[in-house]
Amino acid sequence: MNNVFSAKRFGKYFSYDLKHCIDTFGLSLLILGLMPMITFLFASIISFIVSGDWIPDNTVNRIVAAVIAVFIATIMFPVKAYGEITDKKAGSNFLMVPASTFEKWLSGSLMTLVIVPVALVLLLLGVDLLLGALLPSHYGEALLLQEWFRPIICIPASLTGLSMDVSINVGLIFWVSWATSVLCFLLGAVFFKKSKIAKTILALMIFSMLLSMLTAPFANLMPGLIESIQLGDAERVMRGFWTAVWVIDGAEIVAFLAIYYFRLRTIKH
Amino acid sequence: MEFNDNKPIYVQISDGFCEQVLAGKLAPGERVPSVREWGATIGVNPNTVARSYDMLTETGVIYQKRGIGFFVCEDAREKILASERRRFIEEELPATIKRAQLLGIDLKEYI
Amino acid sequence: MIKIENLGFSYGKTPVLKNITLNLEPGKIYGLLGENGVGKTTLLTLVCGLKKAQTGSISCDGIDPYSRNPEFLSQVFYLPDEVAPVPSTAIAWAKSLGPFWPNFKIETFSSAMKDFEMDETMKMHKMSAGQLKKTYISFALACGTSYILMDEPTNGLDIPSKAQFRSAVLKYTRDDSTILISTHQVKDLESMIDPIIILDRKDVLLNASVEEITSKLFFDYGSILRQDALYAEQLPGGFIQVCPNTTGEDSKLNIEALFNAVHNNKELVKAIFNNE
Repeated sequence: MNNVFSAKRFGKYFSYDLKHCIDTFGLSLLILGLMPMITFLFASIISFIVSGDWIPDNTVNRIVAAVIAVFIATIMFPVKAYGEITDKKAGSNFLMVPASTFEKWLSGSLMTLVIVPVALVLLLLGVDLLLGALLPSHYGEALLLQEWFRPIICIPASLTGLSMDVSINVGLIFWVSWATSVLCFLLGAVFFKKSKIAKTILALMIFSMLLSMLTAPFANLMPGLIESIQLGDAERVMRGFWTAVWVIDGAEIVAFLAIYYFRLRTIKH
Repeated sequence: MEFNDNKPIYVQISDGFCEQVLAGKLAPGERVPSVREWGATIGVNPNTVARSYDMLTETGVIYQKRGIGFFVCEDAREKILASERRRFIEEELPATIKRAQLLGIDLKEYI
Repeated sequence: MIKIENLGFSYGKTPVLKNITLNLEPGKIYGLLGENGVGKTTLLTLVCGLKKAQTGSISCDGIDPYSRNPEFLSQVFYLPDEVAPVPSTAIAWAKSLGPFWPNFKIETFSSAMKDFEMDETMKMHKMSAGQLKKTYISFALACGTSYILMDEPTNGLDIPSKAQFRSAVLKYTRDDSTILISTHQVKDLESMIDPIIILDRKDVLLNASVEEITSKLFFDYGSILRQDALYAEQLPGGFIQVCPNTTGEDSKLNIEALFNAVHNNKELVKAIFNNE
């Protein structure tokens, strides 16, 4: 058997990790997935008490609930599932499981970047579908049933005045923003010993302060840049801009994953 | 098992076996637990148990059938009685006589 | 076979281990004794690969533990002093974790739990410290690894459990395993450990089998104080004295007395045991 990667052993480890994540975060995930339902019930109850009728418009409510659910999951999942690595008692358990560091890293990365967000989104959409089908007039129409709600949103040229349709990969945008945020908290969970979430948020704040200090001198260039863009060039600029964003985000994700591996390889107890 | 006596543990284990044989609890030809089994039962390292089994084999109380295990010798009881009698006569009796003399007791009054 | 050569380790500026050389052979249950803070836990964690040796080397059948090679990991089980609860029942946890060790047998786990009078369907978060320890001990024994490293395994166990522990280790471990048990609760493990290793910060003060110790040292339980005693302590029935064995007579090893004798006569003990 290979000492770095063995499909059979990885399969074993992944299912062990899955069970572990369910044990530590499963209930929380369930509750977060039900947030739209919980907030809707809560709002309805208040509404009935105050005005004796259903809430007039649940749209904001359900969107906010979903956003908050994702936000909380981003912060909570890494610490709950993988925070114990730094713990004196449980940390050695993790290190001594007979799997390679690579396999442990791959499993953790897959759980964080694929399994959990997919599960959360499915739950949120599922709950939304259920309530939308049962109470369309009070809860609102289910998002899944609406035409515009697709992973890739197409904005026709007629709306923007540009020479072509613009398609925005909303699914990818969502995933990339999930990935970059959740990986920050994953690193926080495996690097800090105590107050992991607070320290991660502090680190992020310090980092963004540093970043804005570094880019401040370049801000002067912006107005000039915008003026010089002709309408025809707009598409090129936009495409260039978006490419740069993808590259930077992609590099960020790769870098975070590399640091995560490095930490697993060198953590000591 | 508590080892409160000050004799080496392997000796205490052997003595324990001999008592069982004398009391009839271990019959001639009966199988004796393996070194590991007995060690696990009384909480003693197999090395020590092995030493006591060596001693019991040497004094003819048990014998080993290769690959099968240890068994009580047919004449184990007699052998133990003989050695205990010898010990009584050579050690315990002289000690008792000496002590009686020390205390000024006439043993003949008690036999 | 675990080969430790000139091992050194410091926490920051404080050296904890210096020039430790030891060979641990298969088929033996080693007792690792030493005063508090002397580096017993550090040594164990180094042998597991949880820490990196700063000087010297450790090799377990040719593999460096710090490589955290799955081949090595599947032959080791490390039982720490304090164990962590897991949000699961004992049996579910054992079933999910066990398969990583090739010799793991779930029946051994259940059998050991039964010996410890434990309910394997109990949730680990609801267990007391002692019950949790027994669960981990059962799991350790069920893995059937070539190396079993235990740090203070009887800490937190009540008196009947200590006896159950001794029996379980002797009953469920393989004949050819290398077992290293570190302890300062010497009475708990007295008859079980052989050879005995006494560790001091900078040195291995003693590494010898019980037979060797009792052939070179005599443990006198009489009431007359001897001139040549390396150590003497008053007991209810007389004294316990540790003396050089000049007559070749066998005596019962008293580990506490041995420990004190070794610490009070480091150079002399080394001389006695290194003269082959």
